[in-house]
Amino acid sequence: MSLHTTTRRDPVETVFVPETAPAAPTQWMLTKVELRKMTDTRSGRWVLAVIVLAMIAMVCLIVFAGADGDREVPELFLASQLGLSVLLPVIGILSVTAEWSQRSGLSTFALVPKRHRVVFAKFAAGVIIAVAGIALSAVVTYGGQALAIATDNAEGGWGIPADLVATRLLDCVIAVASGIAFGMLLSSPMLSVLTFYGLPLVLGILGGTVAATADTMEWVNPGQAMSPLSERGGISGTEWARVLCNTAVFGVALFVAGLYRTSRREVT
Amino acid sequence: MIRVEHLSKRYGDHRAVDDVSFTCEPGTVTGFLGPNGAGKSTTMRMICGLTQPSAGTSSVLGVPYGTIPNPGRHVGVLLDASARHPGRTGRETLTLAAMLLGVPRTRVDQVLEEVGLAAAARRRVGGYSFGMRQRLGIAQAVLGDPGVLILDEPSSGLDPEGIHQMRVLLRDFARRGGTVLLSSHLLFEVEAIADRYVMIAGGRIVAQGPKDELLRGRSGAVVRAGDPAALREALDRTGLEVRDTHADGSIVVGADPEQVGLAAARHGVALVELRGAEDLGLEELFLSLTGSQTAEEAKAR
Repeated sequence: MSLHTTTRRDPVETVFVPETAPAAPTQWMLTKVELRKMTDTRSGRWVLAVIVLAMIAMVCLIVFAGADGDREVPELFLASQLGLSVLLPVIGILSVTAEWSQRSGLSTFALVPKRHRVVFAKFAAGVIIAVAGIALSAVVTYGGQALAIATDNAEGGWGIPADLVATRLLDCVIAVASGIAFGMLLSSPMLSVLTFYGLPLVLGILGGTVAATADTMEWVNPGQAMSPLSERGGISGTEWARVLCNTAVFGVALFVAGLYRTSRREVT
Repeated sequence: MIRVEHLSKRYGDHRAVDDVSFTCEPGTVTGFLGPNGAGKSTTMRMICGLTQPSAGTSSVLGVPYGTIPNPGRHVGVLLDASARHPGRTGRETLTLAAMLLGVPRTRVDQVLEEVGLAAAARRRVGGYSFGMRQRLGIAQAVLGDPGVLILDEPSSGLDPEGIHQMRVLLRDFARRGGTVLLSSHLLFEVEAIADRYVMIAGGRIVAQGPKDELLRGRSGAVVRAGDPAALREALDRTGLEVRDTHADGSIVVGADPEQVGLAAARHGVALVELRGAEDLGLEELFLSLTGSQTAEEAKAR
């Protein structure tokens, strides 16, 4: 450990001079760093690999085993994103909770004291993965359609409706935001993941067994309210209202609360 | 330049840090000494904006740490070498930091070489020994070529060679005008590097200053008797100041040995040991200041 060779500006600064000080990392640089942190560990790569494998597996399953009428390209497109929909929030959750559970936040937040910038970078990185995932799922879908034509299993043309792409993207973006929000509020990776997936399940059972709550659950339960975003055939005004209501709670309110907590809490 | 003014941190009723003030000047190494749990790490986290103080302020290079746009380029921080994602390689860990700092990637290989981690750079941090993680932490601290270093227990886990190398590094860093604050719970780890000391126990500063200044006015005697209670009574009756009582029953007295011997003789107390002030070194000062505090705390609990 000999640091004699370390270069150093001379003389050493004794007071901070804002005019000559190195600039803070740009938001794009922070996003690149967070994107890299999501993909540079073994566990991170496994999650991404499972998403891609699930795309291929689901498309093959439908092409070869799907019922008549279920093998059209939009169906392939939706089915291929099953793994993406399930695991994208996990990427968001783990991205936040690792800062606390692995305690890498001690270094992250010492280098970037404005912690909300790190959180927004994590969100942006999640959105980039969502966009890339949806683009890849379109490619896999077309591969599946080609395979279907070659094996005489094809139904319908090549078109993927633009509004379906848009609502799927919206669904993914909201899922990333609420995943990050759960991670910020609960800190523990296990607790955050369990709560994130347990909540819609519990609310769903509640709505199914207690008749009086059934109507409310259509608005409150993200598992129900958000599902029209992943279905063909248009979204009604009421359904949009439910999406908006759910997003306001899970994507915005919890996110803001999590941001508040993250900015003020002690990093140890 | 690091300035800490009346910094306090309370957790419920517990005062982890209580009205701590000190200054670290450029060109000096300040040893931040105290037993485990004395408040060293909490103080350092507050300086770096990671813990909100309950009261008081701190500044680095004249401004609050959190207001520096790219703090890693001015202040090298190592707070806990084990706080790393185990799944990343050493090189990847530093590459992420280099991206945030805006320094060239070549700098990563340079600092890895300098701390002796070049061979292990492509191994995952999870497989590093604690000493290797300390080296990685020091590499990250100097990555942005800062003028200030804040290092929490940087020499724990290092082998003797590593400790020696770090002494050389930090002395060299201060000689070129850098400011260093490093903590330790072991005096010998910082004794060879530090110019100044800040001693903390139970969240409060118990002494601070350069070594000779700390030891000035500390002349006295260490005395031990077969009957400690009788000795204590003899000292009290003679009006001699009892500074501290050690676990082995020896008493540190603020008087010269002759006065202590006379007091004991007058009250018929047989002494087992009596020695002079020159034995009262930094180690004894450190132990007497921090040891008694923790003993009192233990009693209070």
